[in-house]
Amino acid sequence: MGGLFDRLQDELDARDNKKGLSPVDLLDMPEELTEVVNQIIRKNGMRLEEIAQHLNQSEEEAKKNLKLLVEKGYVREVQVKQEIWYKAQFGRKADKVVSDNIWSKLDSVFNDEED
Amino acid sequence: MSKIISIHSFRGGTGKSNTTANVAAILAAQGLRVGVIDTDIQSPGIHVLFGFSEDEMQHSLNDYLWGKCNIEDAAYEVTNSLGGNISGNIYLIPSSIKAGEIARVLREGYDVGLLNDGFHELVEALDLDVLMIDTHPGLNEETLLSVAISDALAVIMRPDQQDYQGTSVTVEVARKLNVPRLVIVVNKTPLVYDFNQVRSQVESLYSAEVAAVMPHSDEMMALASAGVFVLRYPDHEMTRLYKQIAQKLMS
Repeated sequence: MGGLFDRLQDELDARDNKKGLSPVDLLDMPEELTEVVNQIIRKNGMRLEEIAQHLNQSEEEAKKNLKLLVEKGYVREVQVKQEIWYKAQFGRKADKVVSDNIWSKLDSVFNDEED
Repeated sequence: MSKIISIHSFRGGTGKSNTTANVAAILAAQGLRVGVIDTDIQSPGIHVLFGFSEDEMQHSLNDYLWGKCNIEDAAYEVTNSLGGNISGNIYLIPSSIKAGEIARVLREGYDVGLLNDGFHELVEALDLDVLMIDTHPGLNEETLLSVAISDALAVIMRPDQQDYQGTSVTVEVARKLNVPRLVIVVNKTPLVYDFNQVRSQVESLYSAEVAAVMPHSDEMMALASAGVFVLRYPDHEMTRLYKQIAQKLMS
C-alpha cells in the first residue's frame, strides 16, 4: 500500500497550500480522497470506524488517508464525548466571485476523463 | 431517514425555483416535513412563489452566515399561507432581498463550513424529512457544496443549445462528486417538439434519466410566480409531471 499513499501524498503536496477546504477542491482531489471528504461533508462528521466501513478499508488504511487530509488542513479531528470525529475543515471565507481556478480545474477534470 | 435534494441549472431562467417550490409542495402534500433553502444569495427569489414578503423576513440565511442567528431562526413555516390540501409542512429559509446585504455577501463572502453545518442543523432542528436546496445557476462555492452533500440532484434545462452545453458541465461535476441520484428535467419545451425524441436525445447525451419533459405552459407563465402551480392547478398535466419528478427524486 506504500505506493498508493506515496502517490496521494505527492498529489496533495503538489496542491496549493490553502487555508482549509473549498468545495472546488473536491473537483481535482485524488479520487480516493474525494470519496472520503465527500462522505465526511455529507454526514457532517464521521468516526474512523464509519469511514473505514464506508470505504471498505481496514481502520489502519482509512487512518492513513485521514492523516494526509488532516495534515493538509482539509479535515480536522474533533472530540465528541470521548470519541474522535473527523469533520471537513472549510476555509473561513468563500469568495462570492467564482474562484479564479474553477474553470481550469473543470478543464482538468474533463481532460482527465477524455484521456 | 431525511434526504437532501438540490435543484440546479447551469443557466438562469430555466424554472429552477418553480420546480423546487412545486416539488416541495407535492412532498408536503404527501405528509412530509419539507425545508426549502434559498442558496441563491446573489439573486434570491423563491420566497415570492411562497407568497412570503420582505416585511415578514426578520432573519434570513444571510444573518445565519454572519453569525447573527441560528439557522432555525431564519426558517418560516409557509404551509398555511399556500392554500391547497397540505397535510405536511413547508419551511422556507429565504435569502435576504436587501440590496445592501446582497452586496455585503458579494464583497465579503461567508463561511462555507457554516453553510454546511446549517444544512445539517436544519434537518435536525426542524425534524425534516426532506431539505430542498434552490441553488444559484452556474457553478460557485455554495453550488458545489450543495451538489456534494445531496442525496439527489435534479438538473433543469431547456431544450436550447446553450443549455445543452451547460448541462453537460453540471452533469460531469455531479458525477465527479458522486451524487447518488441524478435526474434531468427538460423544462419549457415548445409544444411543437416531439417529447419522446427530446427525452431520448437528452438521456443518450448525458447517460442520465430524464425525470420529465415539461411542456411550455401558458398557465404557468400567467401565474407569474404568484403562487405554487400544483396547488392552483391540481388536475393539470404539469402537476402530474411535477409529481413524477418528486417521485423520481425520492426513489
